[in-house]
Amino acid sequence: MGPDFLGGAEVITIKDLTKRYPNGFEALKGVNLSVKKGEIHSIVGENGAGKTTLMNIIFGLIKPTTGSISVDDKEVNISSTGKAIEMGIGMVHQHFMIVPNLSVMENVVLGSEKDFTNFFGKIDYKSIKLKVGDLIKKLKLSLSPEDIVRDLPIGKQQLVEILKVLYKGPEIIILDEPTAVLVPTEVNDFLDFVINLKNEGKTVIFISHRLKEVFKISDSITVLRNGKTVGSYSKQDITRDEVANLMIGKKFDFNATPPKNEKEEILFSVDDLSLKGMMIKNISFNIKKGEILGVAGVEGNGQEDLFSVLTGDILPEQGSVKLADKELNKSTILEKRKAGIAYITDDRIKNGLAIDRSILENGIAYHHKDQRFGKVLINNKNSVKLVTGIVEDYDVRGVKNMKTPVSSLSGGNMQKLLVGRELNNQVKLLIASQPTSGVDIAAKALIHDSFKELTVEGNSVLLISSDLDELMSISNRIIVLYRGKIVAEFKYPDYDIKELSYYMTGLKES
Amino acid sequence: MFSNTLKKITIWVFFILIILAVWAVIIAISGENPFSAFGYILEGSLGDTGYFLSTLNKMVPIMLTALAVAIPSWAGIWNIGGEGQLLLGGFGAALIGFSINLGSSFLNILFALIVSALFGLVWALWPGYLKIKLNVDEVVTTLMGNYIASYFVLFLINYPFRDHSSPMAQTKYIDSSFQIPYMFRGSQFSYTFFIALGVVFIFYFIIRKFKFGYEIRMTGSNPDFSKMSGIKTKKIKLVSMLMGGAVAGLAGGLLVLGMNHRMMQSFSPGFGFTGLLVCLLAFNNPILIVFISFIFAMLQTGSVNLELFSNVPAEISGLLQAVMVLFVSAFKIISMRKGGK
Repeated sequence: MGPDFLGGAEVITIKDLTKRYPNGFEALKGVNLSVKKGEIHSIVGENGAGKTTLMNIIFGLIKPTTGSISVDDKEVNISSTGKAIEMGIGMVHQHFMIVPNLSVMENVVLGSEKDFTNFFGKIDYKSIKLKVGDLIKKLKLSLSPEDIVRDLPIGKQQLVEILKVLYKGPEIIILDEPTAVLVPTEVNDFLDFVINLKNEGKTVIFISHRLKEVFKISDSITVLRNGKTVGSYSKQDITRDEVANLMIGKKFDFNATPPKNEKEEILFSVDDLSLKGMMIKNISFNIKKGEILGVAGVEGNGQEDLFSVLTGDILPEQGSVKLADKELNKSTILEKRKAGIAYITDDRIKNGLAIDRSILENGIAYHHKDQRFGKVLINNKNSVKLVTGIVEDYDVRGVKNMKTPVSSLSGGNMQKLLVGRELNNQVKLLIASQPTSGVDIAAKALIHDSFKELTVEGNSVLLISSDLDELMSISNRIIVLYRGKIVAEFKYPDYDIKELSYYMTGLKES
Repeated sequence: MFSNTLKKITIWVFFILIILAVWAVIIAISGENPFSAFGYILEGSLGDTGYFLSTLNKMVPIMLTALAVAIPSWAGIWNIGGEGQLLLGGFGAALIGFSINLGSSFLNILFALIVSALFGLVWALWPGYLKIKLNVDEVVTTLMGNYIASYFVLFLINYPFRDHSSPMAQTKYIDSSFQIPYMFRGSQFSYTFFIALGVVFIFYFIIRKFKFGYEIRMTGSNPDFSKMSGIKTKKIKLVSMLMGGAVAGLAGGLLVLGMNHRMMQSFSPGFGFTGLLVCLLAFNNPILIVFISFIFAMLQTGSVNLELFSNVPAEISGLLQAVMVLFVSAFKIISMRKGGK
């Protein structure tokens, strides 16, 4: 019945919404939005454009400063998430809010377990299983109510998260960057699932960076930029490139190609690397000077362990790692960094930054080992100079003061600070793992450009990524990891996304 | 920016008023007019020079044992062993003070203080080492270490080092050349206060300005990231633990050289634990540690006067401290919730 309502009743209407924080920061400066019943409405915009703030307001997590929100043509005051749920609004957050040690069904009913508790406080698991099982069947998901969430792949954990929201029976479902954590093979299944929700008559508000996905499933698209609505469009009336340009407000080159700075000389070589009990088996590869080597693979096929070995966090049992003929296999991370390796970790919050420390303190990490920053006392002048340079060169926005904590920056700007810090060293080799995860188009382009620029002087990049578009657009060569082994190698321009995914998923083995 | 500071100050003033109100109720329940009780406490802690000086004196061990918790916690490691480190430090200083003489009073005092710090350091060494090598929970080892140290010192002053001319379990007096001189007639106030204050400021400076302090801060904030940045986080944690132990040991040394002049039974009424509280209340901030130590010292010295002139027992000051701890913890949690948007 969904399509009949298209172009019909507005379920959510937002007029001139603004949000100003006590510190003067304006997250929203005038947003208008109208979502129709039964449609998939995508909200797109760069990091910090205000998408998540807007959604948090609709879900009652944040109060707006001015403006009005109407649900089903009635002006409402959504003062809490409880109110939002009462109005039939459900939200799936960007970061998982599930308990890994519990089963699927336990997670789903968590918070409403009282409905299944008898007089003595005993929980009736049979009826929980029945009810959750029914919901899973209805949504055609491949989940079992008794699976322990921890053991599920990320894609399925995502579904549990959604199941939990759908259990409360919302009519309007907000999905905040739901595909950010999924691998390519999981994304398609997920998008089918979203379309299925629409066919069930639900209204979906979909937030994503990935325009490809947005264009695959949306009925309407609203573009936000700098806290303002740039426009709302029917999918038929606009192209992908147009949306992308509206998002960043300038023309943008989408046909990126890898740099051509490869030299014959080998800079970095890994030979017969193995780790018992880990995901790595007899890995060998070379990187030439000026080359960008991509490492493709479905998450959990050895990329994390490879990264750990190359940082020196885990010592390999056998094999060698050489940078310009210098054996670094058993060196500490400090020695590796001194030899000229820089690192971008896959999780900026976990080990890429100390987000409750200041921008200045984060900007000088590792640099502080250099005498320029003082022998005993920290040289404040040089530190400020260095970090100011990074902030300017890498366009880190939202920096009010060097002393404000990094947590005040948006994700993309945090990542730019991190990348800037790492590339500001005498880098011979950059090892980057998921360097653009959760980052908007403009920041992504800036980061890719900085990688390419690195190769101009004959320096190299090892790029581990689960984003095939990213790998194909900047790598000179791509190797594929499957179950800890290198199973295939592709050279630019002979990239075939189908072939690549066959090797990534083990359908083809060398 | 300005309005923000003003807001913070308003909140704090309001907050202190609430604590005072609850105190007033407690005192009223124990049968005393709260205003006159506050008067007795103020008089007994700040009323005249003598009272004021003994309040400052009381600050010495509290301030240093609080710092002994703060330094390791900057690096993300807990030192609950301040009490044991203080006792061993005190014994170390006494041991030197009655057994050797370097000829000059200055050298004697310096040497005894170094030894007291070393004794404290050694008592922080094994929990720190077990933590970084085997990941043994330092909260357990340092806490339990207090009991080992306490009974060990008790053994030492009861048997091998007991002053046999005394009816009590205590060592001989230290040589007068080891005594840190009193500054005023009729008061035990000595240079120890300035030494302790100096130590707090030195560490304030180290944590803010030194490269080493930077590495401590980063390790405490995110050890995984610090490791990625080439910081030897295990070493940083161990060294900060040792510094904490040394500072607590120094507190014991200062008490022996500046006040008691010997090691004795019930040398410490739990300074190490008071210090732990002070550090928690001060959010690990050295400057706040000085102020909060002052408040605790005021309560402790003032409550003697309170007991003297009213029917409120001195133990009530412990209750008042507990109320303060309760409120500050609640306040901390509330402000943390507000902080995370």
